[in-house]
Amino acid sequence: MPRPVHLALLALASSLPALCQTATNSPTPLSTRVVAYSIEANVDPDHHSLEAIETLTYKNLTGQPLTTFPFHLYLNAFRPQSTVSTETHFNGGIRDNISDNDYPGEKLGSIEVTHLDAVGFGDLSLRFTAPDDGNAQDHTVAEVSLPRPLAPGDSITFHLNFKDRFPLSVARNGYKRDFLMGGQWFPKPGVFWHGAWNCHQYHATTEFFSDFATFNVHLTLPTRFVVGASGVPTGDTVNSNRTHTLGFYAEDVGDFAFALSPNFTVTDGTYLSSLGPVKIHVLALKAHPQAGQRYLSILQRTMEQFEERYGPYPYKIITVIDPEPGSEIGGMEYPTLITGDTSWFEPTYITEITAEHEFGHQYWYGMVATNEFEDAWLDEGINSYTEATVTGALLGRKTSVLNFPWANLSDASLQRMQYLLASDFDPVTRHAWQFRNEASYGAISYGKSATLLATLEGIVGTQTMNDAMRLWFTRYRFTHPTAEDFLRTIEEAAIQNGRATALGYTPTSGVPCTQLPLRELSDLTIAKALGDSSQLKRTFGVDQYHVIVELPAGAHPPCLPFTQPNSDRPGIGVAHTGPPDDLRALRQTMASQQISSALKAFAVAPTTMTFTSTTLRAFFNQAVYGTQVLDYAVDSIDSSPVQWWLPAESDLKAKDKTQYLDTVVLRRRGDFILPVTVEVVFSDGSSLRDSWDGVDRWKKFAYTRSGRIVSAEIDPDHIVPLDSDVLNNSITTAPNYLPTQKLAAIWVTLHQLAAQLAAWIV
Amino acid sequence: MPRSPILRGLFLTLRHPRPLLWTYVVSLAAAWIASATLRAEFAQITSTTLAAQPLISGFDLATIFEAGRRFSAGPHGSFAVPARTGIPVYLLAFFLLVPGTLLTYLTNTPRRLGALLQQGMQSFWSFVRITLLTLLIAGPILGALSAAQGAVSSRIGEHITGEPAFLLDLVGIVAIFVVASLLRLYFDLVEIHTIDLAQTMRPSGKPDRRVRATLAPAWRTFCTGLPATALTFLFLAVLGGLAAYLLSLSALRHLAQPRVWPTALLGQLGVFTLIFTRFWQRAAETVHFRNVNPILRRSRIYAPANPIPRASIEPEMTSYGSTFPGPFPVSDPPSPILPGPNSNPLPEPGPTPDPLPNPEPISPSLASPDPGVFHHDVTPKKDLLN
Ligand SMILES: [Zn+2]
Repeated sequence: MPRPVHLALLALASSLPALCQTATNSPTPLSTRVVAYSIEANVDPDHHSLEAIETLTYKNLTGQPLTTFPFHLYLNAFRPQSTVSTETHFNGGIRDNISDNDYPGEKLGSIEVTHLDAVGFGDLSLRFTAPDDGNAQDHTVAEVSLPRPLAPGDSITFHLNFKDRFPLSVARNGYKRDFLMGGQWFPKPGVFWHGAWNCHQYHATTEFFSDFATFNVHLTLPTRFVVGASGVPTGDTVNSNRTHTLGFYAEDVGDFAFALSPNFTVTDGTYLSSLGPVKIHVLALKAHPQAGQRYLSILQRTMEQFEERYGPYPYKIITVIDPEPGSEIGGMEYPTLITGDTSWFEPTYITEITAEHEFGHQYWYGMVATNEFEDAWLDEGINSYTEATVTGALLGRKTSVLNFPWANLSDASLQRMQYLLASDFDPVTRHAWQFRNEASYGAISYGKSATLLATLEGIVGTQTMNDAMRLWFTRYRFTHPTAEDFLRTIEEAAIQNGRATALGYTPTSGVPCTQLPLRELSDLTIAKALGDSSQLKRTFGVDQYHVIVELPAGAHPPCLPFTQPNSDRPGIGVAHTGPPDDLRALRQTMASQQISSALKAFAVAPTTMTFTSTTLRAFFNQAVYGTQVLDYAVDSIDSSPVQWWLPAESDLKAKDKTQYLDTVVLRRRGDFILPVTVEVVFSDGSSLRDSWDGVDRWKKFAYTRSGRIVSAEIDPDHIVPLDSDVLNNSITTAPNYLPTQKLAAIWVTLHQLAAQLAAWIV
Repeated sequence: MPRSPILRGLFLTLRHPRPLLWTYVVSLAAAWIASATLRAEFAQITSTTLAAQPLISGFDLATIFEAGRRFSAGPHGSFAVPARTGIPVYLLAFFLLVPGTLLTYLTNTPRRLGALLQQGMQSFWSFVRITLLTLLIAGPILGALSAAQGAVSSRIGEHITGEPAFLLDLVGIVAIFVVASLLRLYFDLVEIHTIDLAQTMRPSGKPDRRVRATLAPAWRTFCTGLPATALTFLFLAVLGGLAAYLLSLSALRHLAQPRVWPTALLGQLGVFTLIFTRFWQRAAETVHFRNVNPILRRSRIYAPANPIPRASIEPEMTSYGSTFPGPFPVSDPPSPILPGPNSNPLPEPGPTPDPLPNPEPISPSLASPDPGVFHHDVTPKKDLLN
């Protein structure tokens, strides 16, 4: 029970939200808050149900009048008629596999809206819709039509009364023993995105998408339960009927979840971020005595890594829930609340990896709030990639899953193994519910995405990838970016670091360059100008690394960082197309004012040019948008005397003088084309690296040397984990049978033990 | 000399190492041969690629996975497939070796492989019947117990989790293990009785291989001094299991080293210990059988429908009794029906009933056991065995 002083402080705190930021360490709102929720809920953990009153204020920032509002009613998915159940039955689900021909009664869940009105609009009613598959029985999306439109900039306040029935834990929701996870438990409007409502049904493999909001939530429940919830606690009032009411406030988040159990023990800690202190609030089960410290420790270290790599965590709290064993609730992310996954005996790093992964979602889903329905790879894939990076740094690059004295396994390998389980059915950009099945969804959204990003890191370099990820976070946090936004962020970082080349430029206004009324470049299209810089110089006397273009009236303000506005000649842009060193030099000169006068001298105005394409697109088209499988192999190696007709020299000295024709044949076994590097080692101790564009089906390299080939290896730096078979990436003439012997030793022993066990029947 | 089955059993196991050693050799050979294609294929996948380096300097499970993928595309499809032939082969060998082993322990007489196998072939169908009976009886009992344990476990799981739940589950599993051990012990005794009974002739002149005639006597043997026998059995089972577990575990712990012999050696030591304790169990059971059914009484324990006329085989008894090693009741009057170990321990089932004693000379009686003598004396009996 809280002390009275605490109560007073908490009461004060709960009145603060209107005044300033209480749940984040930022002095100002971090997001465009579209919705404000206020929910009073009575939770009945014994009957796995709750009744609540929700007040929801939606601000119309869409720029257009709105007459309909779709709402997610996720808990209705836990019925046999729902799309989730059907998909799970036939294609598998990420957290359940209802393959039997009955639907257990305890797995039934529902959300029923018993009353709905809107201030100034009167009583309203909901109508079920099924925008994705037309399943009229789905009931996970319902729409309300207003009697008159809500004008742009206006707000509407809905009052909803609703009842929840939670299922026996299924798909990250419901109860297990006396534990209850309240996830996706309240009516939540869709997101008006790209000119339309985006409100998908709940699917077996989809997660969620919502606007940024504030949440002021009060949960009333029996006092014996310990509760963890999104946001910061704002009060704990004890009621007369052995219940208490707990208040929580969250801001700049898209969702609110809670969990309760009488068996939680609290382990608290603090992480000091550059924005302020963050409380790490761990609610671990008593049955998992080690879990509290393990979660706390890995979260502190993870937050440090994330701050260093991507940017600071701005919220004041992160709550970790340790769900009941055997529930399907382990390893799930909600804003400022995550669920872990551990066991009373857990000798691996799965506990740490899960906590790291779910914390990562605070960045990749929570803040960079991508559409999880449509772009699962942008949250799960990017998060799996950063998971492998961060756990590799914290737990060892080769040991981040298993670090036994006798065996090891890394997280990056685990991601790759998942990718290999179903590598070519779906592209990573496929909508989450449209994958071939659950296995393909998992293999692609997590495994392939992480592996392709690791490969990309190999191609553009770790520094570029770090820059790109940081830019991705800092530029897109508290927005809803798309896959293209992500890819262009990587391209931008790669161009800036000289690891990719732009293949064309266009104004960011999106007007195709050929439509531009070019005055200064009357006889040239931009493409031509970029293709032939000497012509530019001849015509206009400009530096060959600059392109002058005119922009249509009303074009966007400058976007490239090295340009400056010029009031003399509005509408004229400059874009840089030179090599990276020049770009850096240009930026330095810019800073020292010289370029600014030069720009003026050329009458160059702010640019709004951006690249249309880069040299990375070929990779993106195959790895991201395509389903091509990457597999290059060393097909054969051979060393034969150049003078093959001479008899073989027996004496050693003569042998040394023998010249060999050393040949290496590489082969493209997959349909994915990527430049290939091969390293050849010779018996005289020398080695060399050669490269191939990888386009043809095979390539032969021939060398005349005094040594024979000892080995040839594709991808000698092991930076292309997307290659689906690394075992065929090399051939050596010095065979080693130790792996076989080790495997045989284990296999034979296991076989004997199993046989002896079987002999118990005799 | 102690009469305690566990020490006598150890003594017998060590004194007659051939059955044990042959079983171990068969176990190793079956596994090694079964793994031949697997080894060849795995060597083809890993020996000439630099990507297998993580398996040389360490033991990277991802590399095993990669090789496993390639392997699964091959003819076997899975690492487990070769075991489908290896394990049955071992089981068959076990069927053939156990009867001879039991006779060796029963008679305290060494036997060469040929003799062991011959005994195995003679008793093969008896043992198949016993095994079927074992499965028929143990299957439902253990099945029901497992189901009950599963139900209790899930009831426990509704309320208790973590280590306490695991320990409670473990109690259930241990209980099932004890029941399984008792069943095994009983059927082990059935096997001993069967071998023992097979040394007697039916009126038809064939050795008595009736399994059902042994069930009741085996039950009596089982019930006599059960706590001590059961404890011995459980102790040896746990000892073997634990030793195999710990040795295999330490074998695994050496996997990351750039050499294979520690893993191979420790693994084999684990397997050998497991087989050794199983034979020790058998020997201890034989001693228990002997203690409960002294030779004097064994003529009556099976209550043959038509007792074989005693006089006809009387001459054999002396030798049997007199060659009996010290720890066994030397003073026991000779069995009226059991043939001597050196006369014809493996009566050939022939078409002609032959109640008459084997005409072969009786081996010299010894006051105390002399393994050397036994060895040299038994070997020449090849002519009988082959
Ligand atoms: Zn995730």
